Amino acid sequence: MTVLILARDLDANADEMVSALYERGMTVCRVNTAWFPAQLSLSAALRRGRWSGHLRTPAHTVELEDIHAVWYRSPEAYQMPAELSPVERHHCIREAKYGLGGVVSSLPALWVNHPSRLADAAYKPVQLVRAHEYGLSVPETLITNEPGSVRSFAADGRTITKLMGANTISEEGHRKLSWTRVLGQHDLDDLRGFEVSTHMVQRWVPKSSEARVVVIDDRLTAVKILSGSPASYIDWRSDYPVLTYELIEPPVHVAHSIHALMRSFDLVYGALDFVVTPDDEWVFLELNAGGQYGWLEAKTGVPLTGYLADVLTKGNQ
Amino acid sequence: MTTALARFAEDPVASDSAQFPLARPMGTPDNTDAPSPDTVRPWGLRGMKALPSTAQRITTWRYDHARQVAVDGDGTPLNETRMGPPTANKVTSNDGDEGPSEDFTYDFVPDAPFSPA
Repeated sequence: MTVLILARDLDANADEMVSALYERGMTVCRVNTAWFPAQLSLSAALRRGRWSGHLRTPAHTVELEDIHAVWYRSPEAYQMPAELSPVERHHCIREAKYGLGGVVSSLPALWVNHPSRLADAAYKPVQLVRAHEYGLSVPETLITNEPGSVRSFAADGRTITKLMGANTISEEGHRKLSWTRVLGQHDLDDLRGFEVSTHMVQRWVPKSSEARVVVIDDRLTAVKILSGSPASYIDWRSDYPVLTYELIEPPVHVAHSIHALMRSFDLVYGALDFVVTPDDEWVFLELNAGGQYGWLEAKTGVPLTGYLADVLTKGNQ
Repeated sequence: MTTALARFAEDPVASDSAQFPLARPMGTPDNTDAPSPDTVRPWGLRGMKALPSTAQRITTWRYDHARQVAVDGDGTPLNETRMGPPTANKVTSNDGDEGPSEDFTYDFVPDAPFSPA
């Protein structure tokens, strides 16, 4: 039995997972899709309704039929030969997506998480509706590209905005990041560029703390995150050095709702963010199906890598 | 752009990338485009700020295919040496480790022949 890890080359959590799986006696094959085609090849034949064959890396060959668990961590885009024209390159990428990606995603293994389930769970508007459906409190939310709508929403109370997709772009030769912002009057007075895409704004939720809940199969680890600066009070991601952490237990009904939400998305792993109000109400913000956990393991001592390694070791048995 | 390529770019809801989403390759040169004027620039990008320079970068490393982990120049696994446990500010966002952006950005695979975000 083999665990297939799909991850970047430089990934401390993947390194730790390789070690953890070896300690459990597992066969591991770690693959970065960016190695394809220069350092990664595939040969798969359809036999009796499933793909049989192998993935070959410079040092390992994994038989597809031996794979009983897959950790879809953060594999990178295929790297096609530089001499290809743009059209040729995209042809190759597209064929690799459907060929290599298609074969791998069809494997009857335990997936943490399956890429199609990641895609389903990527939409925050879907998450919010689903979270409410399963009994979680969610913030009052508006998604619009109409300036009048956001002004009207903001007139009713303190309002924040945050991006629905990636919070990073590449521009002017470097990476840029965006955190949750509280809207001020100057933001509302100048809504140029608002019409060109949709924006999400939410009512500010009074907070005593925030919490990240890491779900690994049926295990739930909740960590209270206390801010230590004005910026981190708005968005804790903006100022990690001042944060403090504390293990907590979420209310039972919240834990039940979290598990139901995870099941509804068919996710084995997820990192969910909540605001905890002064009245101890837990308000769901978002579900990160590929959310980070390594720094929480380091801060709290909870063996999250081990929990995940146990799940991958068990696989689809 | 061919019709086939345009189909990917113009899929309004679920891109084909999302069927097997892949992350931005490490080392991809950053886009050098300048921001558009305020009259044009998407309002949602007003909060974008350059990545803090406090993030730690791993400068000397390579991937060891046999051991299946990243190693330093001497061949010692990074997770056994100076790299230490993951921290939020190690390396940079979306570049292979815990970064100021705590979640992975999967949906990179370019569906259209232009530079990725």
